[in-house]
Amino acid sequence: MHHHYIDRFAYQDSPIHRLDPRAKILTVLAYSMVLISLHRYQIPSPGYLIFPFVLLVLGNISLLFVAKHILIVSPFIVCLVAFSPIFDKTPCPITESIVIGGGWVTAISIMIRFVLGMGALVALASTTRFPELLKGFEKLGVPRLLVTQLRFLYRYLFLLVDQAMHLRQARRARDAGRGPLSSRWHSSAGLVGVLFLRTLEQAEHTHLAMMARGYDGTIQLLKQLRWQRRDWILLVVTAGYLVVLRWGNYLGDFFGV
Amino acid sequence: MLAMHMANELLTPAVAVALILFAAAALALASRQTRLRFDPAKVPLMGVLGAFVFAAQMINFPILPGTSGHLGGGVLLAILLGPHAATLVMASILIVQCLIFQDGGLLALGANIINLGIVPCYLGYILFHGIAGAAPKAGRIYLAVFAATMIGMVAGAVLVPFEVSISGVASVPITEFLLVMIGLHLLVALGEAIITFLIVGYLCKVRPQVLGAVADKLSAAGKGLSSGAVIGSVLVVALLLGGVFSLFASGSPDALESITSLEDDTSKVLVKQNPDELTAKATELQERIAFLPDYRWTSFSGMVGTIVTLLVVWGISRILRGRNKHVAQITD
Repeated sequence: MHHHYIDRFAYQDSPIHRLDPRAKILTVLAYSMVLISLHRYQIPSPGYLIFPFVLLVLGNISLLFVAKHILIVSPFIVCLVAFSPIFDKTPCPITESIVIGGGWVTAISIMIRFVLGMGALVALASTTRFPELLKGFEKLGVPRLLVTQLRFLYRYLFLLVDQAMHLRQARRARDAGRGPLSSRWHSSAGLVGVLFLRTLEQAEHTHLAMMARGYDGTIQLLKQLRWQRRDWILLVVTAGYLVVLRWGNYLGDFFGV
Repeated sequence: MLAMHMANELLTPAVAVALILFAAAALALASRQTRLRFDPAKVPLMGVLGAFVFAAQMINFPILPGTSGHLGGGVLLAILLGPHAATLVMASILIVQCLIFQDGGLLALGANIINLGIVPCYLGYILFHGIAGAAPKAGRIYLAVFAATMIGMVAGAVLVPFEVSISGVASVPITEFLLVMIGLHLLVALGEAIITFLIVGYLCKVRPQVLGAVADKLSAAGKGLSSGAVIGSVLVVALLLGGVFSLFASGSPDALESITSLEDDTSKVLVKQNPDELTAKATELQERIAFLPDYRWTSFSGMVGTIVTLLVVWGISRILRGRNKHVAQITD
């Protein structure tokens, strides 16, 4: 398995890729927070589409890829939401003559918000290289120990998945995917066991090698994060956008517009 | 084997933040305990074990033609490494699943770490050691693994309906939701228990020294799994599932609903605003739209829900299989 499979879009270059990860993390968090703060009978206005759409399009991320990705992670929420029309029949007037059950409104609202929120998260993940994303989280106050652990996980993910695939392929070459169920479960468990042992050995070797090179508990990245003017612009524009979107009507009332 | 990741949109901001704070506190505690038990410089290497769980999930355990399960990992790690380290590893897995694969939302991370990490790891560990005792035989180890996995995973899954209904966003009644979650996770945990036991047994047979102090206790697991144990556990799960379904059929106790249901002001306001005529029309319309209209049918719809969910999960596993094949081609 190679990097390009998991985060192939993160290694491109675009205005969005060049933004500081911290700015992107903060805006995506704020956007998700505003989305889930909406009432369950409230359908997000089309304006909410702007934020993820701009990030994805300027970030040069294929919208088809995003759609497929959201589809893969959606079954649980779809199953859950599909049942809300049965249980919630509070009448909700849409216009004077059209009234539908509150459960339908909730279901539609949750699904729209899910797609929007996922769009923003995909945008964050696929316009930021993972090591830089972690650096951003670290600078934002996530404990270093956890971040270092995530860094190791990411480093070894590709290596170990490759090994798992080799093990799987080697078995397939021998049993051609046939045989009694019990023996296949035993052999699967054996493969996982072998993988576990190799992982421990690998971790031990890596630890020794790192100590030999003066590892002191911190990992130095070549690329340092630099907060620039464009990051301020993203932060301020997004903040203004979210305030208008979420509290625009209150503001309007307040100023008598 | 199957993880139901919570989505942001099922939680309210207050609930999401509270769960994140709770998870963060628990992780801080776990990492301090881990540092006491392991060489501090090696603690970050727990991340490598996280990568192991990901990789181990590529290895399939066939169930039916076209369907297969894989290791979840929580209880296995808790048995092998202790609950603190296991919780840290599971948390790092869930964070990577969220950030790279977008499985579960960023704001729902607290909920996911509690449901799929903290609860199964700690509860599983306590149950395993409680039941296994000092020098267990193979059968007893299996019983301990079985109970630890079952109860650990189901307890984590049971939290999902509570978190969702405290938030009050999705209007699914907690009793039905709870029963569906328990039913699904009983099946999942059955597979997970057998897989966990087989892996522990393999490690004891092949390389007991890597397991350290636990190895002596687990050595009997190397004898392998008897078919009696498998049949027994399938029967137990079948009985439990029968219980869950009969609860559905009996029109489900509503006690839980009164505990957690929140009064919804808006719905009242909406009803008040509407003249009676409009309400009547709406109800009539609603009866026609809802695909299982009568509330009396909730127990039936609960069962349909379980079956639909199982079918969807099966379908997804087919799709994912296709995707895995694609990955294999890329790397070959």
